[in-house]
Amino acid sequence: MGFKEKLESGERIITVEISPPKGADADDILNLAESIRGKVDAVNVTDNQRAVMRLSSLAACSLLRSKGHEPVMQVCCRDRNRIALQSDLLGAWAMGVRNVCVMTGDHPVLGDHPAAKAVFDLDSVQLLELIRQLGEGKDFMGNRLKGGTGFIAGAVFNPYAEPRELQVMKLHKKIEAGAAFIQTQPVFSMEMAETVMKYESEAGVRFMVGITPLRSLGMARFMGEKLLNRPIPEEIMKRLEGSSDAVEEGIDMAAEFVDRIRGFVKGIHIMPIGGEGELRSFLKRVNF
Amino acid sequence: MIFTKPKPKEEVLKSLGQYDKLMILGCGTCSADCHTGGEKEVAAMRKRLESVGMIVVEGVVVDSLCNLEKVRRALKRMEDDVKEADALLVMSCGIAVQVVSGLVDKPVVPALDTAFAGVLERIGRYYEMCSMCGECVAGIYGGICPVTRCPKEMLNGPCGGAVDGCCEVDAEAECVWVAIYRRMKSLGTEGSLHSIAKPKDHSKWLRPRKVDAGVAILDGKW
Repeated sequence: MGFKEKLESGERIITVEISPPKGADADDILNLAESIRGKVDAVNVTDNQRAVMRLSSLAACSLLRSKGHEPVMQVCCRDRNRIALQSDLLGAWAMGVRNVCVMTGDHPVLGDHPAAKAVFDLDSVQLLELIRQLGEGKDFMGNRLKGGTGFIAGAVFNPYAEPRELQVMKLHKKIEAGAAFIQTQPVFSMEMAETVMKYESEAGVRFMVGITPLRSLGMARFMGEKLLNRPIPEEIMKRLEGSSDAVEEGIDMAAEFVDRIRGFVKGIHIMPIGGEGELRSFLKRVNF
Repeated sequence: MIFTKPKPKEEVLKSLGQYDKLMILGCGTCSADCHTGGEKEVAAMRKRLESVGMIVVEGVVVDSLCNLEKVRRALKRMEDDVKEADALLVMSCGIAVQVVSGLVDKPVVPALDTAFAGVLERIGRYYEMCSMCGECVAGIYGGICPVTRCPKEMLNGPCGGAVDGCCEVDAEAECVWVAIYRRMKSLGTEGSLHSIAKPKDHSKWLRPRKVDAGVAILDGKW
């Protein structure tokens, strides 16, 4: 069953996020996808995430399609204006890519090309409207297309960003603009998983809760301080600290967490964040 | 106001290196107000240049270096000094550098970098407020401009990068969307944020822009 059909069926869904290489050699990403073939419903491919220049999501998705995988092309608003965004989306469709996930994108000053011009011609809400328009066979200016698209488009939700009311307001706009699925930042507590699911039922579209196996105390601290602005739960920190193999412990904990939430969560989005090497073994461990 | 910052000393001295005699022009409007090109600053620059052996034929503050006719008249009055100088050092914004360049047959060197259009909170504390985008939407956002004050120019709400209400790009700055929401709530207008804002029309920023209204502005017919 393809990603779109899975979403519509209401069945459990697992997606995974992988990153293209910083280079033109795509072997690693293709090998990684091969190693998890059949274990996930779709593979998100990041778009120069953290504003670090990498091989394009579009190209990586096309290569993955050619090997029979189901990619979700991530598209951010930082680097391309509305002309390039439409052009790339038409190209992606022409190369067999059927799923996209949009986001604003980190500012260039945070990445490895800080002097680059930030584009942000559109924001994620406007980009979703653009994608919907392409699906109606028209470009953003209303011109008829020789071949439209029919993407399933999703967006992201960060339940940690404050004030949350503003993120929720934006979430509703994303859905109004056509988002058919939402993927979240990594979740580590039952409380946050329940909160996210509350938004899913209000929103009326499928959510995939972010899952990240932690690999070290340092990584946990970094995530808590820099990415989530909320400390990782104490029991997780204790187990990482007390373990002789933090990577294994992290995988165990993430698998246990998935087990605890599987009763009320029907979609998970695994983000290895540097732990791609353990992805296959994590997927073996996960019962979802 | 247009805010300017002094260029690094070394850069200015390097640009002036090939010249012996200089004329310094300051500006009595923005640069004077933010203390980069007023009387005191022109005098200090003169002293600095003379101390490294340069000859300053004249150092003067012109009323408004962005008003072409005023600058033309001022330079005409000082035409002997202009003639004697090898180059003119302009202690004002990029507008001034170009206006002066258009009026003299001498090299013009900027002493300042133009920073932004913004508000003077107090001396030494200035904030960018306006990008001069050509279609003011600040009124829609509680009187706060997200085009200028959000690094990503977001019109539909904040990005997901705000940490603790602070901007992803500048951890010391409050996310402007927090300010917008707070202000609109106090006005009871926050409901309008639920409407999807369309993308900006960047053709209104097509440079170089101009206003060619002639007397229509003065006659109120604009």
